[in-house]
Amino acid sequence: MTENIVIDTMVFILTLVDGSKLNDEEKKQRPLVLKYMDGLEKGDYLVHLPRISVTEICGVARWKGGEGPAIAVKNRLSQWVSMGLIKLYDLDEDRMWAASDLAIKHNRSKNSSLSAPDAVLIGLAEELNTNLITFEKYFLSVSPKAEIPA
Amino acid sequence: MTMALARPLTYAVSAPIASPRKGKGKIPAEALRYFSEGVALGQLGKHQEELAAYDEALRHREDFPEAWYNRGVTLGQLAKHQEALAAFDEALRYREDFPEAWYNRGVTLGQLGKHQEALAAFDEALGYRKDYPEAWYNRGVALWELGKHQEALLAFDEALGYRKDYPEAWCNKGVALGLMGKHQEALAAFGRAYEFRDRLADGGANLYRLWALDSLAHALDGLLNQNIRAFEEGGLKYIDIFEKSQRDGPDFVGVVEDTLAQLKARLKKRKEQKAFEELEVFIRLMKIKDPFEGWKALGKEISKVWPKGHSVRKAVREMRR
Repeated sequence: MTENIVIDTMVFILTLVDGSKLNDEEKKQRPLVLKYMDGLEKGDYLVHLPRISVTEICGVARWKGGEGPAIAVKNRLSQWVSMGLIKLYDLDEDRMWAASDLAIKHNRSKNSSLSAPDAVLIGLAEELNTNLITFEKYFLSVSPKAEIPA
Repeated sequence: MTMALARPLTYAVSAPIASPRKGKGKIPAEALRYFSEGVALGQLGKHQEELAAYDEALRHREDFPEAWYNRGVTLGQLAKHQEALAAFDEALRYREDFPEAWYNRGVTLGQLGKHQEALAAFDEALGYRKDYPEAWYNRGVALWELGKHQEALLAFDEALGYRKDYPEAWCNKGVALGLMGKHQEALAAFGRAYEFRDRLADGGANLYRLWALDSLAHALDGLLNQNIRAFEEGGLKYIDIFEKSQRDGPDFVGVVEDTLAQLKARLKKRKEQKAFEELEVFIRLMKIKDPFEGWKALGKEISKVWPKGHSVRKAVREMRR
């Protein structure tokens, strides 16, 4: 049976970076996220994403990998969307207010607020009542839907 | 920046005439017999004997423009351009309203590098016969050679107005548009040429080369002008052309693959070379059809340049600032 999940941008990027290039903590996390990629391929997971996540993934790919690979990332994600493996969501008015409420209720830390993409991502997981796969520990205090792979 | 990478296809001669025009004085039977014999020999590829037959026909009737004309065509096929030119001139001496002779006079002059005179000959041909796509096409080639690219484009369009299934004209239209930086339109024109590629003398090898080069130029222009859509469009079109070549045969695959090296050799500026490297990576990655294998290949490529020990979390957070 296909499980619906929302995935944080970081999870996607972790599948793109070889373990040898990662720091120690992320080296341990990488094998955990690869199962989501396998599951996506096998149809075990249907990934739900706010549209801004695609922009984030492309942006990080461009920043660290160059234009050619980043444009290829964009095309692959587009291919997955066309294949129905990823479902994208607009930031409509209801989602905007839900994300705004999250940003009002929660700070990321004492020194920083919840970012807009974070709030939109968490809001989507709550709206769809699905798990949000992330390695951001502060997400756990924001939403019960956040789940850190272990 | 506009990439000007290609020259158009060149002048094209026309076939001999099978029978003389009627109603302009009776041609003696002997002359007609030799003329027909010449045509038949030409169809068998026996060009020396063909020439001898036309000479016999002309011995029986000197003012026989079609025999002079066919003699010229055959001499042209044998690359005897000066003699061919003299034969077309004889044909026109006896019959001025002979568009095919003017046309082939133009082709021959073009082959001799006399493009301005060739242009005048094509204009004469078109004066007698406006619906003459081959003359329009070759007029376009002459204009191109004279550096009048915009006018050449109009001439190719005229040719296509009279004959849609004209791959050389589509191809040269593509070259002209590409030179003007109108790559989207150029790629569409090459696409039309591809529909009729079976009619091209080389089976489409040159078309593949020109088409692939223009797709790469489109992509490179896109990246250099920060037009990502154009980069994608050009890169993906190159892959599409590559896949078509795979279906058409290994020779064509080689032609398409070679265009990458041809383009690379022309790039002198560091900025262009860097853009080309990005394009090569993109093409390599997008050639992989399986989306998951493609993602893994992407991972390998990004990992090559990802700074060692740089946190993914930090990168994403910086992106979200």
